[in-house]
Amino acid sequence: VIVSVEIPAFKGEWLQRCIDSVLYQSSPNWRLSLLWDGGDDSSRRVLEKLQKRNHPKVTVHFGPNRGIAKSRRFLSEHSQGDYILPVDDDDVLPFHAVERLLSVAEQKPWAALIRGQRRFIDQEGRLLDTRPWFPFEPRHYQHGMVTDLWNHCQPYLIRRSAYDRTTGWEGFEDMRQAGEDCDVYLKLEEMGSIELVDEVLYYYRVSPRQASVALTKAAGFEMWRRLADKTIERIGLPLRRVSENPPFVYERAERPPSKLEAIDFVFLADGDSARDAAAGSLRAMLIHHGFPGDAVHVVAERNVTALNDALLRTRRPLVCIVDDTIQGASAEELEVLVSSFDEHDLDLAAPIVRTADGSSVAPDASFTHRVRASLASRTGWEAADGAAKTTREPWLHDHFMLLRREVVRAVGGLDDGFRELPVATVDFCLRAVERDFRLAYLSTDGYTAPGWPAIEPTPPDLSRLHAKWGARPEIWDRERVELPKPEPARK
Amino acid sequence: MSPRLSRYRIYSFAGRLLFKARQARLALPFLERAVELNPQLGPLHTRRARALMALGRWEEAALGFQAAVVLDPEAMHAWTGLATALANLSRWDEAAIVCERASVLGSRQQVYRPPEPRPAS
Repeated sequence: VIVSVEIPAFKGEWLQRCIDSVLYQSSPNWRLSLLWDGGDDSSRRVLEKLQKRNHPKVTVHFGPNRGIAKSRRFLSEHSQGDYILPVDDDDVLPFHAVERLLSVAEQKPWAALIRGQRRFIDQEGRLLDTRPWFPFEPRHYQHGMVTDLWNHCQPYLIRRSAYDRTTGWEGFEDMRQAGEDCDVYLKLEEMGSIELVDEVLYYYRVSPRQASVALTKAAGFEMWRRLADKTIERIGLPLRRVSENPPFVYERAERPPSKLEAIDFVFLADGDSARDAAAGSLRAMLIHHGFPGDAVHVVAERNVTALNDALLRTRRPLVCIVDDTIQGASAEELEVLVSSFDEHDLDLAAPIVRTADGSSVAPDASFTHRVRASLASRTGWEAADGAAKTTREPWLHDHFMLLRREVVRAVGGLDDGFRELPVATVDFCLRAVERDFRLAYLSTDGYTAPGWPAIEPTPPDLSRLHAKWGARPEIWDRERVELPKPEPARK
Repeated sequence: MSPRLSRYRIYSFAGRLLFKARQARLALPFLERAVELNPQLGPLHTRRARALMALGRWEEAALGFQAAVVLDPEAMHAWTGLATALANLSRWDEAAIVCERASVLGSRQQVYRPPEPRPAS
């Protein structure tokens, strides 16, 4: 496993120190790529000298000035390595930075980006006792980094496989190509999780020549505003900026009422035999009611990759993931579900599904305490008056789920590191909760699953789920909120 | 041995002589040249780093010791030098990690013990 350390070189004053801090890392698993970006003579001399050394792990490129984003893009395109570690030409890495970041990356294979702490140093390399202007804090989640852009900084280790799925480094032309770091953060968050390492793994040099001095504070705010607005538009997040001046405030935007025609249906089947047997299923009903063919997607294999592929094919604002064996649904019942979904202003919802013995399928309460992923059928899901309850929950089952497409975009689909769908769905829901999307079980009754399979998750899946979420009770142990009973459905 | 490699000895020798004579400023160019000629030899980095430390150039000294410990992880003097340089830069987090690694190394290495006192005759 190799880390590609990438340095666009413009200033020569501290470049040698920066290079030495990479050359003499405690871990040997690195490659260094440098691009002379048309900078000062001293930086060119340092790079020419380095090139003459013919170090087997070092590649030096020379080119005209193109700006930071384009230089980073060039380096990432011309380097190899499983991870990318961007470094600035005047900063230094602690001697164990690569070793530590790689060890965290190995422990957290789901992370698209791993972020550590940084400290400021002066021109002589002495630690400065100043308050960092980019804090290192738990994330202030409101649909991810969009409203949390100020809470980011170097160092960050990027997983190459996640980077390759983004559009890469991009900056603002009118800001000297800056903003590329925030932009790539936002894009990577759509590909996987961002993990924090609470250790100092980077020294940021404060000097009059640092790039952020040239780029004013006002320009920084403007950059964040543009990036957040761009991301809200790209994903289709239900957010609206309500302030023109920093600090920018966003509030949840109202959505137009949903319609049945705005749903893409993804059916989970188990091969052709299951599809043939599903004559009384929801799919049969849809076909009977003349739903357009392109609104129905069938996943022949019940696995994460196949479901992700199907989700990518969806185009409508809502997606309904349904087990092909779910029965008893009619167009009217679907309308009730959609209407209830809108009334509670939800992003993901599942109806109460009854099993053959009449009990309902609900999240296993023990999950929150022991991080188990069994979503078994159970009784007692009804309220005292016998009516089914509608409650906010941290996760839903994988047999019937209605969700907005922006949820899929924002969290990048299901994590294909899981083998089985139930656990992957729990993880998907938790990622949605982390990004402030709203989940609930809706009390719309009328759906049955005759053969509810009692799936016991495999140990590797459980270990992964535990490793990923075990330390995040603020996400999975939220107080369950009982929602008011929905109004009668529109007919 | 190639002439390039043998030349480093001369530069290193000159640098050491000057450093011992408390002429760190004069010693440094010789030690730097020695490192340039044979960058894979850990002790050369240590000598250069010591000269830098004597001149109060702590950051470069730290990087020099860092090079020395990477090239020769058993070099206890380089580890202690690295910890000293980092402490002078107030980089305590890193210095603590270095000290921890040095102590692990120290426990592995043979430690000098004074001879047992002779029993009184």
